[in-house]
This record gives sequence, C-alpha cells and structure tokens, in this order.
Amino acid sequence: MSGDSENTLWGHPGQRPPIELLAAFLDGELSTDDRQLVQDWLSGHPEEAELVHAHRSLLRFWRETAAPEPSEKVWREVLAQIGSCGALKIVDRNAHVRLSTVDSRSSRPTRSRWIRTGILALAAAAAVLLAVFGPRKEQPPLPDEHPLGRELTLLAPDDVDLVSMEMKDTKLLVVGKSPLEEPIELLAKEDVTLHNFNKDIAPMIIGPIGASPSKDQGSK
Amino acid sequence: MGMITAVSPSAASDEELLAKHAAGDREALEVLFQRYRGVAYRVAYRLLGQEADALDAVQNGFVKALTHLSAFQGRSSFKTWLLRVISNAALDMGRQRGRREIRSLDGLAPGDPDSPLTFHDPTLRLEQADLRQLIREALFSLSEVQRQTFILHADGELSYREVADALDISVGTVMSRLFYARQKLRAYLAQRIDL
Repeated sequence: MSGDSENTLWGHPGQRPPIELLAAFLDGELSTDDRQLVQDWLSGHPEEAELVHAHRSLLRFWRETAAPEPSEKVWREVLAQIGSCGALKIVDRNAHVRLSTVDSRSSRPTRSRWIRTGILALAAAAAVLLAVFGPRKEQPPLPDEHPLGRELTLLAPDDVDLVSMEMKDTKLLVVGKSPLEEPIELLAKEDVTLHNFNKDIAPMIIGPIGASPSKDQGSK
Repeated sequence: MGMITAVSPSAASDEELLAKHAAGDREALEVLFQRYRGVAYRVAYRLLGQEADALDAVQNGFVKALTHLSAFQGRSSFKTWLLRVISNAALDMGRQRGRREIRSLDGLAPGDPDSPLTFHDPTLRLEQADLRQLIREALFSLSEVQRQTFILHADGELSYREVADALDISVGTVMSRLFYARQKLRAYLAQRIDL
C-alpha cells in the first residue's frame, strides 16, 4: 500500500494511530516512514504494543492451521471436471437438458446436485420411454419383422425415483396412457455422453424414440 | 541463423495463458489451474471448512471465472478475479447449508468456553481437525463481509489493494475490516486455546 492514504489516516502522529494503520503495520503494508512512526509510537505504549503482538500471534496461528493440500490425484479429477463442465454448458445451451457426468467424488454435495439433475433428465426421458414402449393392451402386436420380437421395457416404474423436479419439466412426465402417438426425439445422440453403463440393463437405442427399429439396428 | 525462443507455458503471464485458453489451448488451462489451485483451495476451505465442499467451490469457481471473463475485463489481476468468484461461490454454498451448519456448530465440544484447551502445550495439544473446527467456529463469529475480507487477505494472500478490488470496497474499509476481524477472532480463540 502506498503512503498517500496513511497521511490522511494519521495526521497527528502524537495521537493513537487509527486501527487501520495498526492493521497495515502488521501486514507490512506501510511505507517506511509510516512504519517507523507506528513503531516509535508503540515503543511508548506497551498496551498497544501488546495488542499488535496478539494480532501477530493470531496470524502465526492462522498459518500453522492452514488446510492440508489435496493429493495430485484429486487435483487431476477437479481439472478434468472443469474441462467437462465447459462442455456440459454447451450442451445445456443447445439442448436445454443438463446431464451429469460420472464423478469419483460423487458423494460431494454439488456432485449430488448434478446427479439429481441428471437423474431428473433421465427420469423424464424414461417416463416418456415407458409411455411409448411400455405395455399397452390396446396397442396392436408388433409386426413379425420387429427385430426384437417383443416390446422393450427399459425401466419399470419402480426403477425410477424422482428426487426433485422443476415445475417447467413436469410436463415431460407421463402417467398412464401416453398421449403421444408420434415418434418423439428428446435428445440428439450428440447431446448425450455415455460414460458408463450397466451391461445387465437392456440394450440402449439411440435414435428417434417410438420409431420401429430397422433390421440393421436389431442385428447389432 | 536467428535464435528461436519459446516461452514455456509455466512462465507465461496470466494474460497470455487466458488468451491461449480462449483459443482452445488445453495446456494453458492446466497451467492456470496449477498456478492458483492451492490458494483457491485455501480460501474455499476456510470459508466452508470441508475438503469436498472446498473442491466443489474451486471447481465451480474456475468454471465461472473462465466462462465469465468478459465481466473480468482485466480490471484487476486474474488471481483477484478468480478469488473473488471462488469466495463468492463458497459463501453461496455456505448460505445454502445455512441453519443446518449453524446448528451443527452449536454442539461442538472444542468451542465450549468452559473447557479451555491449550494449543502450544504438547500434552494438551488439540488435533489438527479439532483446531480447524474451532477455527470454523471463530470464523462464524465474524460477519460475512469480515470473514470474506480476512480470508482473502490471510489465506488468499491478496494485498490490501487487491482485496479492495475483489470486493469493490476502499482500501480503508479493507484495513478496518481486517482489524476488527482479527480482534473478534483473537477474542474468540483466546478463550479456548493459548495463542
């Protein structure tokens, strides 16, 4: 800190220095002249010198109790997340759907929030998938050429837990018979990054939902 | 033959690295991150008191600082801008925890003024974790602006001028807040440990 403000703060060196000046003295932010003035004053006022000493002890204590640094592995994870967060924001703007990323620090609160958001998006998608692919008695049987030969249920209703949902997203939920008879495309495949999946889960279909898969798709 | 000199990324200025990052240079981000991750973490940790939360604040802060560089506009150093964003992010997270946090602090044993503990006496030395918890309590005895000012200076290693820039306040206000913050911290801690 330069000495210009100190002159206005302490216009009468015979008086007690303003507290601001004592703070600056402690932090080494005074000019040489002002520092000497404060030093001279403290030498004649032991009670004030004790106060400065107490503050200095506090600062030493503060440094001694600094937080331990995370490991290099943790830092690499954070850096990776920073990179992927930038990518997610682009997806956000384009698709208006926020997807979570798999994170080894998934127990952390903000991770949980992202995961909840991801679950929300997936749950909404799953609900529509259920409505489109789920059992419907009045629906005609699949044609013989259907590659799977049966209806495909990705998730049962019990498999989906809605943790939270914004009001504007509730329109995506479908309970009961689907009002949708036409193919619906919730996400383009380039909007989805698949980090991991459970092989025990039924095969995933990336493409227009509700459309009959072609033979090529079924053979993969 | 002329000599070709190349500036190592680690020796580049923040401004050069930011320009490279904006052009898609991944390494520039890594260098910036390595340069400021430690100080960013110390600030976030003091404000939040937990490693996981502090890492979240660092992560979110870096993302926000880099994606809102237009708001930065070079008015101060990148470090000042980054620590401003990270400390604000950490305070937001702290507010979200709100009353739950305060309630949990109320029941902490190390803060009990009836059982003073000696820091410098090896036989009665508090564990580091207990000390950090005690420090958290002491920090919560400060107002939010005092807490942020003190931490940006003490842990963020920002000068008075930089703290003033980060918080849009005068240098005199920084000095005043620092003095009273130390007074309060000292008073709180001195009742419980030997400083």
